[in-house]
Amino acid sequence: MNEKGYVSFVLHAHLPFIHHPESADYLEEQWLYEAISETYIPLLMNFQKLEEEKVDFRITMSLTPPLLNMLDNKLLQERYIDYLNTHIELCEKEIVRTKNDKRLNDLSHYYLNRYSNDLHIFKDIYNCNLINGFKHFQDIGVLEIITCGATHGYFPILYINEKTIKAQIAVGVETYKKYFGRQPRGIWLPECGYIPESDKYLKEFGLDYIITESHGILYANPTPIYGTFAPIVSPEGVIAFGRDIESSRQVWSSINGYPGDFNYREFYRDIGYDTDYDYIKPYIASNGARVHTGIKYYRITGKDCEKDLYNVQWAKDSAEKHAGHFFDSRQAQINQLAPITNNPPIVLCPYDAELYGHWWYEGPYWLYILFKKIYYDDCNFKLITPSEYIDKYPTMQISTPCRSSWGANGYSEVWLNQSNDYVHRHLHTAGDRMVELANLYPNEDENSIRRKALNQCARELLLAQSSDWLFIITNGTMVDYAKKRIKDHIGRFTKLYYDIKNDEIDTQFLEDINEKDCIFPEIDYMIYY
Amino acid sequence: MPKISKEKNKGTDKEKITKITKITKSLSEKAKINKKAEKDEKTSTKKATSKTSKKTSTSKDIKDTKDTKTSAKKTTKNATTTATTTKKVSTYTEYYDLPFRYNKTLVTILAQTPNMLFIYWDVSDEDRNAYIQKYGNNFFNDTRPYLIITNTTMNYSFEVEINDFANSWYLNINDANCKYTVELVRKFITNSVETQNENSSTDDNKFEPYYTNQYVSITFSNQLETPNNHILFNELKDTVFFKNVKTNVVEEKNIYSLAFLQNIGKIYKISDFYKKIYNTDLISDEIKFNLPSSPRKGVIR
Repeated sequence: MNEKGYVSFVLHAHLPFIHHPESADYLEEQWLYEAISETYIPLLMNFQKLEEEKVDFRITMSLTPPLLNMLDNKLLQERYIDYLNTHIELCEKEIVRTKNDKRLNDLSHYYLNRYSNDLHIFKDIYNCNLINGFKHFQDIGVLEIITCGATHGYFPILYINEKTIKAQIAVGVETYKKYFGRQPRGIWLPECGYIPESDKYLKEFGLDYIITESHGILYANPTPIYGTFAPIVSPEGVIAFGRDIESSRQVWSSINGYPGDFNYREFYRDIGYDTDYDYIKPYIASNGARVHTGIKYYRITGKDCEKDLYNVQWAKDSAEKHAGHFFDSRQAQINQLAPITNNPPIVLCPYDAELYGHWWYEGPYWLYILFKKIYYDDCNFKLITPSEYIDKYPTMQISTPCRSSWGANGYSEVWLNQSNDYVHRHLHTAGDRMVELANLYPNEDENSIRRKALNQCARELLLAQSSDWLFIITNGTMVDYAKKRIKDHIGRFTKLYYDIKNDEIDTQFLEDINEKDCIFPEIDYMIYY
Repeated sequence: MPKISKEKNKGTDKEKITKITKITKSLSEKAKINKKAEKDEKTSTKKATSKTSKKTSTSKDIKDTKDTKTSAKKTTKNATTTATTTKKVSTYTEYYDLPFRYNKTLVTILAQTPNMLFIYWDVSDEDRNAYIQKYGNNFFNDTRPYLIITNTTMNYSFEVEINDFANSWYLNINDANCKYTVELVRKFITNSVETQNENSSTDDNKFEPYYTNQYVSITFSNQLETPNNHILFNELKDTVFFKNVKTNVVEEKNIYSLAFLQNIGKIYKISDFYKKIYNTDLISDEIKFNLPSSPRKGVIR
């Protein structure tokens, strides 16, 4: 069957830059290790299977600059191996502990295999560098990787000083080029936070398209004739694709979304909480707090009921059923849309990458099955990347997307509310000061201490601007850590600002924070000039 | 009238900058680290303990060296004597508070939602002194701070009384998708003030207070455009423009000539099309924001 339309999956892979050479005890550093084991390796393995089975598929992923810097960091790579070895040790103990319950014991073996396999894949197949794994799939044409703001700074609030969003874009593009050796065509705006003021910088740095929340398109001016089912182009020339509502709900919804199926793995039952304290103590937080270990033996089972043990096959069956449902739903949607759009409609399905595997354990397998179905079954649509769609159908309506985000209620409430509004004056002031410094001390000598200090100022500012800290404060978990990070980066920036202006740069201090906040080693502070 | 400088001299802000304890230590090369000792340290050290300590000292050493300079020196000694090849690094135990204020006169507006502004402000000590010098010692007692909000799109203004204990404000506004500016002013409580600065310099209005009826203008904000909050059906004209992004050729089209409006049968308006496609997700010209948000948005849990 000829395709009547297209479906485009976009996975946003992002974690804030967390790197503590001064201590291995920061729990937050484990977010990266969990994401590698539960999301990034499973996605790569499923892409690999599709490649081996010669299934032609398309997917788009944003790999954010902080994530790329962490995946490329030797210390974090070593610590991930430590993390896996610790988990393998725990799984071996679990096999002994569960030896009298066959179902449980099978699951203990399952996790031992899984973590052992992760170690093999990470060390032996990817040589500790997962970036090259993703790059491979981009190079063979099935994956389009796009960039993101340098540290996921939220444009609708930062743009008070436009040079700060220019720098977010510039560093995002430069980081992409460093790791992938080419110019990115698209950018995932941090939190899908769109403002028209960023268009000129997006164009300046060669970016063709952005992803917006649904109302970024639907509330655009003038109203897009084809809704979210065709991209629009802003007067400045930035192309915007909008999130499809129906397909988003099918996957995201906490009430009737796929991840709530009773056969899927229950996220909240973890042996970090379920086993005897003395037994699990060596594997939880160093301060003795119980935390998730990643070893989870139960399935969702039902609401408010005793949890049944996880069954890998049942979970796969459900994933296959849901892949079928998604497939049928998109076919019906395309059938409805195709007669009424000028070009074949595009259904854009953007998700957080970490939904797949971390939150929805079976998500990567679901994608694998879905992509196989789309390839092999009689299907009225094809998978496509936004770039391919633009190249095929370059004529689109001129319209200015609506200022919007994909946060709760669609605007800036998540990143600006009474719990975190105190932060913004500091971010704005630091942004102004960074521009001031660049103008006071332009083009410093390559090896001068002042240049190093100015570059470190840029790093500290960018790290302070991460939208993650504001989100965490709003969300109410790990709040102390997020607040500390804001204080640390603003504090380090402010000290450096005065040190530079007073010509009293403390080289030991500079060296110390450069080791901790080592993101973007090639940064040039002149982006703020 | 004294010229008021907005910029403070370097380093004179009342910012609490840093409280830094400098501890110089040595770091033995990673290859020389005893794996078992490192593991023991992981479970016995606190977060603030430096990497240097973890890599080179016993748990007891770390506990001893946690807070004092003296014991830090002790660690240095231990580390340097035990390592045959050492790499000299400095490790700082840092503690920062955010600056209480930046002592700069400003007012900034941000849009939290299409109908909610967030406004923050400050008035520098230097500017405060200048106002006192000009209007007398009781200036800040005889006046009250106000925000004058101007919708420059629809050309109307309104004012909101704030207070001297606040430095930020949330403000409901009626009209989304409009440009706003805010002026921070002080309003005299009595009507006793006479216009007295007619001859004052107008070179720099931002710094030269002037009267607007009973107000002294302190400063103006950035201009902000608030987000749109509905589908602009009513503003959609018959003609729309399409652009080929490869060739940059722009084409004008009458929406009633578009194929889909002819193919669609009964439906003849864009709003009908939207209702058909987005049926339960629309209420009139607004989307129901019931789309599930990301469960994490940037953090793993």
